[in-house]
Amino acid sequence: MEGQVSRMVTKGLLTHLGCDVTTVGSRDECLRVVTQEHKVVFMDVSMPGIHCYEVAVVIHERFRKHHGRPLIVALTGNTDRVTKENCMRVGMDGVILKPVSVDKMRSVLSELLEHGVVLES
Amino acid sequence: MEVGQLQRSFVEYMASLFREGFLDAQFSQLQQLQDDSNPDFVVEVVSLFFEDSERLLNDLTMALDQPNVEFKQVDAHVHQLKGSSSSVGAQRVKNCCVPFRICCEEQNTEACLRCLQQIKQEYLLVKNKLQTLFELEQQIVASGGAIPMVQ
Repeated sequence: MEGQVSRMVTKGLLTHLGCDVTTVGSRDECLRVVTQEHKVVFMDVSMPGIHCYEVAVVIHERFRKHHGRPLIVALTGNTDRVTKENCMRVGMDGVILKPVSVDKMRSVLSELLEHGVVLES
Repeated sequence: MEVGQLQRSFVEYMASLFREGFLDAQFSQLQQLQDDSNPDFVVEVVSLFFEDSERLLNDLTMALDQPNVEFKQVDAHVHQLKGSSSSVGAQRVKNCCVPFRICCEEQNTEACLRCLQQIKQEYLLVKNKLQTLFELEQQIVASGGAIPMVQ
C-alpha cells in the first residue's frame, strides 16, 4: 500500500524481479485481497491515514491458526528509531528505506524467502 | 538531424539533467525496470508523477488559501509529493519538500507560500526537462535508432 506513483514503481520493481504482484490503495482493500498465496506484503508506513500498523496486527491474527502467513515488510521514507520500533511492535518482518534500488530489492527478497526476516542496517 | 547526432544530443542532455541535480540515481533505477515486457515504463511512471504532482500542487494552493490553514493537511500533501518525487528521482522537487514540511510544523503560512512557489518552479522545470528528454527519445526511434543507455 503506497501512494500511486510509489506503488507503480514498487510494482514495476517487483515485476522486473519476477514476482507476481497485486497492488492495493487502502487498508480495507489490502485486508480484502490478502491470502496465504501472498508471500510478502509490502506497505508504506509513512502514508498518513493508512493504518498500516493495524493491517499488520490483523494479518497476524487472521493467519494465526494457519501454517504460515504473508511476511510483512514496511517501506518508509525514514528509518528513525520510533518508526522501526512501531513496525517491530506489530510484528512486521522488516523495514526498508525508500526508494529501493533493484539490487537492494533483490537482496531483500532473497533474505525474506531464506530467513523470513529483513532489517535495514 | 541524423540519428547519430540525435543520440549524442540525448546522451549529453541526460547527463546534464543529472549534473544539474534535476534527476538523481532513482531515475536510473526506473530506466533499469524498462524492458521488452514493459517498454514504456519510464514514460508511464513519469506521466503519473505529472498528474499526481499537479493535483497535489493544486490542493496545496487551495489549502494555503484558506482563512484558517489546516497545516496537517498541507503537510500530508507535501509528504505525498516528497514520496512521489523521490520515487521518480525528481531530486530538486523532493529537496524542496524538506523545508516545506518544516514550515508546516512551524505553522508559518507565509513561509509555506514561499515554499509552494519554489516547488511549483522546480516542478515546472523538471517537467519541461523530462518532456524534452522523451521527445528526443521519440525522434531517435522515429529515425530508426536505438535509445542509448546512459550510466
